[in-house]
Amino acid sequence: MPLDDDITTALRTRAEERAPAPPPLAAIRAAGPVPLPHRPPHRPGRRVLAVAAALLVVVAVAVAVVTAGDDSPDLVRAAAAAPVAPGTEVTTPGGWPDCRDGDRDAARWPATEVLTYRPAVDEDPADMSGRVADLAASLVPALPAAVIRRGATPGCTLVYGGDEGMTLEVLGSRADGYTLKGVGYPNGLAPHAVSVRLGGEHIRMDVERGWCGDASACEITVAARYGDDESTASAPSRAAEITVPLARDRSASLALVRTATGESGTLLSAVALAIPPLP
Amino acid sequence: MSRIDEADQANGGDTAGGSTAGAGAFDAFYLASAPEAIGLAALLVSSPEDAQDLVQEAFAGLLQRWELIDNPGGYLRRSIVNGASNTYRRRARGRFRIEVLSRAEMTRAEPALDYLADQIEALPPKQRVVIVLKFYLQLRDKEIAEATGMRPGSVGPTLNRAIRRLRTEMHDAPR
Repeated sequence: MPLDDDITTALRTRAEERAPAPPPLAAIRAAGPVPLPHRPPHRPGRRVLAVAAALLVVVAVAVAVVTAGDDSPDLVRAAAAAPVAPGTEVTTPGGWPDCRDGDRDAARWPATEVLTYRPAVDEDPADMSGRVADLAASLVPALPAAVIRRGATPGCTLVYGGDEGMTLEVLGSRADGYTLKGVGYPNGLAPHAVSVRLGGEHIRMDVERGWCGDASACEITVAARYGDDESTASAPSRAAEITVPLARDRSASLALVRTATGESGTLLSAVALAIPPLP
Repeated sequence: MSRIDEADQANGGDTAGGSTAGAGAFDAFYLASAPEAIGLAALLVSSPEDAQDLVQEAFAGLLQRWELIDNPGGYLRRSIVNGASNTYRRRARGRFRIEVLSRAEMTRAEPALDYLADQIEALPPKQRVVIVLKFYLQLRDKEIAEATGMRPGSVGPTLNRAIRRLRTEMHDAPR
């Protein structure tokens, strides 16, 4: 049999072995706007537009590099206000705005992550923060509920988490979308980023390497609650992508909690986030 | 002609046309083309979850622009190929995943063909995409160029390089 035929046969066989069930039509209809629209083929002037867009990006990056030195909180807020499609999370380099909580100066914290999303129409940042706290506490028994405070104020909030635990913060506006920040402890953790995507029958969380910081060994656990379903998945620190299978129901709100535990089983850090129901 | 294109034609070729029939036309297009789309995605990214994501996002994007697109089959393929490219880039940044082999993967039938499929997966991303589009979807070079954004003149040489490489790998394969 010629190689061409072999290739066709091998590909068809592999597709039969590997291809999962297609996503249900209802899920596609419920998926909402796609975050990064693909251009249709043969769009006139596509190449010209692409070059122009690339130039704009270069200029924007250059401006950002030049102005990033002062770590202005306005820059952080501007990034947080960028519009994002419903159900979409965008990871950006984190950084706390300069703000004060009582007498504590909270200008710089390590291991900050920023997740931007567009909430439901009636979503209120303070409510959402409270819901995250509730869900985080219920999903991670090891995480003392006392270290999680409610009532984040849009714009500038610090929630103190103690020696280990997590903080949450909500920035942005209803019109432009909110940013939820979670900060893991202790301070020795390496900076990291996380992205979460809803899709198919699962939720996937990408975790940058370095999440375990200086710990010689640790395990990452991702717990997710989606409606009434709750799932967990664990992986050694080297693993960078964790998939939590869940029932598909995008009308339910979602909470994810990521924890890292050290060799002794102690909690090194935890970050939670919530995704409200789609409008 | 791939089944995706057949699905497009079965809808009268105006899938993007009338809004009254738009919803029904999309559903019909989905039903006819989803199996091949998921197969294409599975061959491009090798992970069931990635494949599902790609297909769901591709169809969701298509649905959003249904009234505006005159070639849904091409649009769908392009979306899946673009999404697969993003997946390759993510992998290239040093991330890797935990995979659980399915029962079907653990009991493969034909070792030689299985080895060949493995070698296709090991091709550089662009060559892999071209091979899959050519031999799985049976697309012409012009359609492959549309789906990948390559220049039509580059498709043939890329394909030839990939085939040469596969031929070498199969010749050197353990027996």
